[in-house]
Order: sequence, then structure tokens, then C-alpha cells
Amino acid sequence: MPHDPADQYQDFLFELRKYLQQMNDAETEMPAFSQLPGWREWLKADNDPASDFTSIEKLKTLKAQLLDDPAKSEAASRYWHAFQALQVHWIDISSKSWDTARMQSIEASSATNIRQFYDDWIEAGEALFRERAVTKQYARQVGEWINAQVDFNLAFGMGEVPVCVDPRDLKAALTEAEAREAQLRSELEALKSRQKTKPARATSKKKAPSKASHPTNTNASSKSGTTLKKSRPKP
Amino acid sequence: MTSARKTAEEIKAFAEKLSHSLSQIRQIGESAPSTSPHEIVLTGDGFRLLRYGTNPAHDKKPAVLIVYALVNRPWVLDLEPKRSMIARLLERGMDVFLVEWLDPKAQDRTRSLSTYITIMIDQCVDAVNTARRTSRLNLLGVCQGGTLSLCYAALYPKKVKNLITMVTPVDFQTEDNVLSQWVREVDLDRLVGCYGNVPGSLLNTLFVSLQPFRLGSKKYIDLIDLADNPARLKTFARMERWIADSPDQAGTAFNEFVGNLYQRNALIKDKFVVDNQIVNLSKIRCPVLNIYALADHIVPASASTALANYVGCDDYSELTFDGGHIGIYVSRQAQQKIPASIAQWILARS
Repeated sequence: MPHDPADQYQDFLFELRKYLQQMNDAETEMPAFSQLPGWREWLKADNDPASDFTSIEKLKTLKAQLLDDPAKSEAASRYWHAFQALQVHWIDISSKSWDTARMQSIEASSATNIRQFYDDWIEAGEALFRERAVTKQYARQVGEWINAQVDFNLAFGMGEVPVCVDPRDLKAALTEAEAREAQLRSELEALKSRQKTKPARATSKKKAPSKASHPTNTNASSKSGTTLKKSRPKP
Repeated sequence: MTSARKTAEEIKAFAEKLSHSLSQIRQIGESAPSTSPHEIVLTGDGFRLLRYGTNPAHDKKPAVLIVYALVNRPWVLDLEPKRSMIARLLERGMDVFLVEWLDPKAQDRTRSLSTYITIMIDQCVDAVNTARRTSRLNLLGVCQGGTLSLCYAALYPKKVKNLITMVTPVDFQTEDNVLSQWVREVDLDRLVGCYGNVPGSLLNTLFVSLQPFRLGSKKYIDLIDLADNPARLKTFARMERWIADSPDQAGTAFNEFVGNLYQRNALIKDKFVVDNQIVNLSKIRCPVLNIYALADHIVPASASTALANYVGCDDYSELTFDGGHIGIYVSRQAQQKIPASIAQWILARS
């Protein structure tokens, strides 16, 4: 038996592969890992094969579109780079956590079976991921990945590009609106003062309401308020 | 190191057991949530108000109106009879109401948070008060629904008797808030411009990405422990269905929530505007019970505990749960602890 842990590990993997191969060749076939239902299946949603972006036909169409249109090509490239940047982290975390679990298994003999080894790997992976996820670099790359995905969709005609308004234009519009408001106010004031100087029209038939025609009884007004509340549309 | 032969045999046995569990879970088929009996009290534009329980004397019990998050379905609070926070609250003598948000339609993309808070929640509060001939009620906001409830309680203090917040983000930019760091540089105007209503599947991917090893791999491998246990497999299937079932989000409301809160942390800076009014948390004078989970990976405890620094009430209490964001709804420990504590706290203030 070699003493170097790396050689030992390599031998172990070689042996393991041999035994698994033997099992596969023997009468007992390894059970196939049937795939878990995806979210569409859980929800019984329409699983339309036409919407499958991984079909050869779809990929051919996509390729043709990319070659024809630089904007689409650029958006696709941005998305691909953003995704790759995250993938680099995931591969790194998976690899480092695998090493951590392996060293624990060798040095501390913590894993006594394959399930325990797997659990150790998950723990190590989740811990490493937690550290990585809160770094500014990783957070920025997640943001870029989402933004790139949006740009990709926009380039392929999904949704509308929101109109970007230059703040300087907004400021100019505001100044203009304020000037217009000031002008209207001065015109209104002038109109009001002109009306004041005019004599009252003798033909007006409206009478100022007398006190008697408007009950001042507080009970009455209170009742009126109650009625109003009652008539307020209830949902 | 174990021998290669032994490991190979373990892998084979492991694969057989997993395959067995998977075939069993496939046989279970669709696992609909088993909801407690309820009636629809009110149907409005974009929401329904449900009242749980069949007890004719429930008018005499304290009413609690649950406002759940927009980003998930509320039926996790009533997953199955043994895992139902709603059922436990009913058992503890509460008259339980729930705001059930309906999926936004394409034309609802411009629906704002103001509409959710000052129209929809307000209509539900009025409807509960009308049904019970009261003027104030107990409001229980869960997760994002807790943030909406805080806004409501600050804007309509006279209508809220007691406020309970559960795994509710208040300070959205604490250092351990991964989600907040991730969305800080997302161009929300373009996102909403692109999608209109933001797809639930996008949010779902983001939530699962917060714990990729556990949520993407381990929980499925752990299925081997559930083989030949139909009840637990059904629970698993229901949880999977709930996790995958994230509704789309009204574009404008999503933009406001993520932009003002996650990106600018406006709520604790007194800069969060709802219906032309600044939401000032110090206007919340009613008793507050703040419940949070110590191992919450979506709303870290630090995001929730910040509430103590901003509310204006003298009667402020906290309740901690030693678990995560989902466990607080459905775990056995939570079922025993959380609803009983809520009911006790409300009864002491009724």
C-alpha cells in the first residue's frame, strides 16, 4: 500500500471504478437514477417540448440569429461570460469542499460510510459557499448575471427597453414647467383683480343662503355624518 | 479509508434505495395542500380574504389577520393537518383571517406597493372589523408580508391593536444578508421593462441559489431515509410543490420593494414613501411581537431584530426560533412553540 495519501486516494478511485464496472457487467445492474420531477411536473404545468431551448432545432435557429445580428451576439456573449464567471466559483467551491471532506475522512476518520462522506462534503460546500456568497465580487457577478439575462431577453425581442431619461433633460423640463406655472399664476391674479374692479351683475338670481335655510343643529349634522359613514362603500 | 469494494457495495445499495424512494414519490402524484375549512369573506381586485374555522362562536375570539408575502404562496401556513400554523392558531382560540394574494395579470404590471398596502390590506382590515363589529384588530405579517404590515401599522395606527411580525426584514442591508448583496446592482427598470411582471421562476432560482448544496442536492439524496414512509414522502412532495410555486410579481411593486428596500434601505431611513406618505416606523405605538429564526438564510435574524430600534411602542417583545426560514412554518418544533406563543401574547393584550 502506498503511504502518500494522494497515491492512496488515486488507487482507491481506480479500485472503486473497477468494482463498479464489475457490478454493472454482472447480473445485477445498477439501478438507474430516475430523475426527480421538475417544477413543471409538480405543478402539472404544460411541458411543451417546443419551448425546450436545448433542442437541436432551437439551437440552430439561435445560432443563425446570433450570426446575423451583432446586438444579439453581444448580448449572448455577455450572458455567457456572466454565467461562466459564476461557474468558476462553483467549480472552485465544489473542488475545495471535496478536498475538505476527503481530508476529514482520511485524517479524522469522520466518515465511516459513503453517506457520511457525502454529508461532510455538503457541509463543507455550504460553509465555503456562505463565505463566498457575501463577497463583493460574487455579489457583483450575480447582479451582472441577472442584468445580462435581461439584456439577452431584450435583444431577442422580449419586453421593452425602458426609456432612459437624462437627469439634465428632467431638470430643464422642471425649470420650464415652473416658469409656465409662474406665468399662469400671474395671469390668474390679473384676471382676479380685473373681476374685482367690475360691478356685480344685476341679473344674478342666486341668493346668499339665509341662516334659517341651513340647520345649525349639531345633532342634525352629526346624523348627517353618520349617514355618510354608512353610505361609504364597503368592500 | 474504507475499502473500494465496500464503497462500491455502499454506492449500489444507496442507488437502489434512492431509486425506490423516487419511484414511490412518483406514485404519490400531485400532493395538494390540505387546507383547514375556510370561507371567502371578500374578493377584491388581486386578493381574497379567507376566514378559517367553522366555530359559530368565533366572533367572540380574538381576530388575527395574517398578511403573507407576495413572493410565495400562503398555504405553507396550512400545509397539512399536523403542519398547519393556521390550525394551531384555531386550536388556541383565535379567529383566523388570511389575505390571499391572487396572481397579477399582465395589466397589473403597474400595480404599486401603495395599492397592496393602502387599498388591499386596508380593505381586508375593514372587512374583518365589519364582520366582527370592531374597530381594531391583531395583524400578523409574515416575511415580506411583515414589511407590508409594518407599513400599514405605521400609516393606519388606529386600526391595529397588536402587531406580530414573523421573519420580517426591516434593516435590509445587514452584512449577513446575502440576498440583499446579490440584488444591489440589478438594473430593476430594465428587469421590469423586460418582463413586465417579474417571473416567479426567476425569484425561485435566486432563493434556491442561496443554499445550492442543501437545496440542490442534499434534500433529494436524503429522500432515501423516507422510503416506505408514505406520510413523510407526501410532506416532501407538498413542500417541493410549495417551493416551486412562486407566483409572478407585479412589476412596479417588485421594483419598489427591491429598489427602495434592498437597494436603498429606505424603510429605516424614513425615506420609504407609500401613497405619498413617508412610512415612519416610530408611529407604531401598539404592542409589537417580533418573531425571527436564528438560522434564517433568506431573512437573517439581524434584519429582523433591527425593528426594536425603530418602532415607537413601549410594549415590544421578541420570540426566537432555533431553526430556518421554512422550518419556522412547518417544523414540529415550530408547530409546538410559535402559534401557542402568538395566541398567548394576543390573549394577554385582548
